[in-house]
Amino acid sequence: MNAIEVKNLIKYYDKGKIKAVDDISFEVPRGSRFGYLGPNGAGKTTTIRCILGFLNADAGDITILGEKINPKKDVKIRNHIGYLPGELGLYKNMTANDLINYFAKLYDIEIDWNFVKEVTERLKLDMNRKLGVLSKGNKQKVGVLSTLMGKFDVLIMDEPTSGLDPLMQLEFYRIVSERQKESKCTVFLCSHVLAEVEKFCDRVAIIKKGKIAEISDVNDLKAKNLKHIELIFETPGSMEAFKSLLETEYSESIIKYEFQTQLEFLLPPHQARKILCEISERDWGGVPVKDFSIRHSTLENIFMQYYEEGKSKGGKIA
Amino acid sequence: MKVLQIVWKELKKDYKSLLIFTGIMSLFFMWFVTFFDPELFAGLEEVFESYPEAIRQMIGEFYNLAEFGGFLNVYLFSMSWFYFGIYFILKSAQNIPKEIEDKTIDLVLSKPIPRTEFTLGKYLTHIIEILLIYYGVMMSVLLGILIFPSVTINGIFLNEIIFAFLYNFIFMVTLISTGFCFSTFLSSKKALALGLGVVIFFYAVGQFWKSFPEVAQEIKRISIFFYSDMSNLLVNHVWDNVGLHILVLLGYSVVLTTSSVIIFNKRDIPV
Repeated sequence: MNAIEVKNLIKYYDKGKIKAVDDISFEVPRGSRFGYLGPNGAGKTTTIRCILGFLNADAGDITILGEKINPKKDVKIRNHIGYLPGELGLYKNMTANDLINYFAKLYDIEIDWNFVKEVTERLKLDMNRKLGVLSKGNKQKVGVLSTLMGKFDVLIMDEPTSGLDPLMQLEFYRIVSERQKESKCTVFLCSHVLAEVEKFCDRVAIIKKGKIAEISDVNDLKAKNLKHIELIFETPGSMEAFKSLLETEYSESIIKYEFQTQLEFLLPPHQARKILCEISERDWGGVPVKDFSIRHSTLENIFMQYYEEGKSKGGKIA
Repeated sequence: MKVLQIVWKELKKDYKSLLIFTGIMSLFFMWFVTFFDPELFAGLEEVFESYPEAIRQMIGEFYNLAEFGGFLNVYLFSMSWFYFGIYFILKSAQNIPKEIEDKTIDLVLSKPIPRTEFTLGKYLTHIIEILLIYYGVMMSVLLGILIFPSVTINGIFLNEIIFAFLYNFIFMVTLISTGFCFSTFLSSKKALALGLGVVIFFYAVGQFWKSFPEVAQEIKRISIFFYSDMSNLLVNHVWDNVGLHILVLLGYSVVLTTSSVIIFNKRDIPV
């Protein structure tokens, strides 16, 4: 069963002038970790807000945990959803303790103080300071705590690590992973930090200008997408000779980095075998390639590929 | 019911400013009671007679400053929109937009909190706050009557004065409802501007309708200020139309509150 199913969702702003979400469909399998990627304005947050009933969708169906819902009216389904907003707003005059107590009463949940204590210790959060004086990172920690303290089957997070330092980011993902392992919940994650999504998610959707550009398992996506090739030549002349080959015969290649005798580029998978033969069998400016490595493209490379189509091709630097 | 949790949280947030405001206004009106002097104010009444009718209308259709009820009508009830109304329009017009602008609404409404309960919780908070303030002011005025020698309890219609507080409280609810209704679909600045604008328009119509051409004088019926004039009750001790006027004021509040809930339920909450 799917945890979230979105079918033909449409949301336009400004009387249809801005197509924030334009007929998108996707499914998030139960228990999975789903990454929802796109730059600012691509429609990620609009999708989430339609699912949660903050926005009225112009068309489309939303199904949560097998139940087709009207997100605005069927509020009970939100008992099964944990939500951490991208731009977190907290009551300035409260402390984290006050907020937890308030939400516990409002949401009708019993606070697991052991869990609260554990999370506050792990995230190094002071529960007794007024939220108005906290830094962005500490506010985010409060948001994380207030989201995770409840019980949920689906956890929706929009840029959850924004403002957290790298150590806290790591700790945050550890906590979420432990929570997911324990509760078997589904995680729906929006993030700009693609390395995080790559490590954490098993499936991703890339949204571009309100439409789903790609939806796939992370590993499949990486395997079928551009290969990342790194070469080290003996001399700068060798590298120049190789570059001219790229420009003439591999017009789809994208050079990511070049410096003196070092060259990194991306290549579609169907050309990888051919170029490997060229690299291993031919000399460049009279000498063979000194060293090389080839690996799957990172999620970031794949993401950039969708967003930089038409740019930086044919041996140009991306 | 989530309404009560929302009310409790809002009251906890505002209780200091509420206590300060109630304290200041209660002391202010207790002090005001000491000014009452039937002979002195009877003389002032003659001064009023020389004012243009439109100006006299500002303090109600009837006045008798030599009586304590008339004195309260002029200096408390007819000016209550200024003492308390503006403060509450300011609060009610900004409460929900501020939750949206500060994005605090996201965490609240992402859980099974119906928007109706959220809206009613916010609305009820303002009602309770004004009720507490009015209770404080009423008690201070009644205490003033008992302790200050300038006010003789003989000739004071306590039932009318207590009822006038209730009547005026219902009028305050209409002002709150006006600001609150705009807050459910506008930004805080626009809701405040429009809320104040509408109340000032109603005030102008309610106070100056007699100076309009005869054919246009019925416009007074659109103004909530017309229905809040309690001078006939406090000065002439006549209860005619009081029930009807209270019903109109209550109806106005019910219509606006229902509209607020419907509008807020339908609207988008943007990022």
